[in-house]
Amino acid sequence: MGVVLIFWENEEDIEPYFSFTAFLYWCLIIYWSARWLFGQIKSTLKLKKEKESMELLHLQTQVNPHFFFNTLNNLYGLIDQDTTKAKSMVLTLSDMMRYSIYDGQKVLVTLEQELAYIENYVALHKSRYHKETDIKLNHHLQKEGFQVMPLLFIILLENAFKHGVENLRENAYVQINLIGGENEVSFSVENNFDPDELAKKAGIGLKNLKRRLELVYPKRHALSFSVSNDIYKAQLTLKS
Amino acid sequence: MIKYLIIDDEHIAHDIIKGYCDMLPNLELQKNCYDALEAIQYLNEHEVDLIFLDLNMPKLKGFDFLKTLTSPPKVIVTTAYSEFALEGYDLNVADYLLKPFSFERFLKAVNKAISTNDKPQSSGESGPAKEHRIFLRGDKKHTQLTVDDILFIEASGNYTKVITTQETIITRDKISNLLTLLPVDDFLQVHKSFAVATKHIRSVEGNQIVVGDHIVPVGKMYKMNVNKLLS
Repeated sequence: MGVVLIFWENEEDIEPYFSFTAFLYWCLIIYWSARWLFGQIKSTLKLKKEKESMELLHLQTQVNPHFFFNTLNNLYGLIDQDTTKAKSMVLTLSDMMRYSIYDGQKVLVTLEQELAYIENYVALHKSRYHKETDIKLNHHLQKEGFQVMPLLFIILLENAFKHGVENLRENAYVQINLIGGENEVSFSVENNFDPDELAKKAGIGLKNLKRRLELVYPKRHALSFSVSNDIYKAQLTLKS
Repeated sequence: MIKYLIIDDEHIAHDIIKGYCDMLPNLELQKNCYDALEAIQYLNEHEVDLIFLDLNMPKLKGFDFLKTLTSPPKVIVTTAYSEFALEGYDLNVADYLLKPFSFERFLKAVNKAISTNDKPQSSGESGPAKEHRIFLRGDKKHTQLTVDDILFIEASGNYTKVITTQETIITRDKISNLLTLLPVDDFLQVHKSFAVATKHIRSVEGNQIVVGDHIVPVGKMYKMNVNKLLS
């Protein structure tokens, strides 16, 4: 400001070309400050975005290791007993691994891919247990190529198996629905469970799911749970 | 006969263990249990020597089941969970097998379980103390032998020769592995490649030990072991 005052005081003596230089000088300063400020804002935003994508990457789920090793064990046993079945199991498992490792890193995948993954998961689970389990998967996809974030639904499905089928001696059931509309997709999974089993607090999987939804579907998702007697239901709706 | 149970909720896991056990003599499956409650029911009326136990099962988890048993038989845990091994050692399980496991690894576990027979006989059958036996893996064959009959063992590469009072068995196991299966007090390593059963030693002369009709060399580094025995 001091500089400005000096210029103003001496205004009468200044020749016109000098005032023009002063004007240029000020323009330059304003230009440089604006540029600097803009750069700062830009890099802050970039940093924030990078942080979020790092966090997302960190929250990204992989094939559950217990599920993976138990499947490998079944495979090991099947190789001698039923080669054909063992072979098809290898293919199913590699599809799942490939999807989880490569497509799981993507921001968006198609609903069809996601459905195939869920179908494979269900198929491997069906052949696991000695006891009878009733697993049903309904799906209806209206729009082709609907885009969703990968590996969100599987977390709810894994929980249903973990707290339902794995803990029940008999009559376990899991009912899965995947409905894709024009602008939204709705996934629900219902399972019975043993009420005697201690209800544990939300695990890391569910916490991660909630955080990922906040990051990628802010205000565009609905996640709800309901419990009645021995039936647990989880529902997740995503808007495109 | 070693009587055993399999407790696992996945049927293929039963097939694997049963298949392995069928390759060994003297192991007799009593019952396939698909959860721990089934096993408790069975154990109320019967006795077994060995249990193959999965951890993650309905209602009663593997370790909780173990805690309910007052005098548990030998237990080999079979599971996909590697993170519970420490708790397993607290509960004194014989071994901890991570699925999927090879036959070699399985055999080691069985040997560990049946060779550490420190449990006092709880059943009515009194008489002489149970003979201490182990399985040795040969070429396509597993031989059971009584530990008391072993004169000495000799390393040869990745194989180990086991010389007993009746025969010589070659096993596909390193001498160091084999020694872990044998009672520490009864065997003495006298050379990098030799360990002898102390009770079968006839005489010690200079750097040679006579065991049965065999002569075993004493290594420089192991001379101390032998001297300790003599003093």
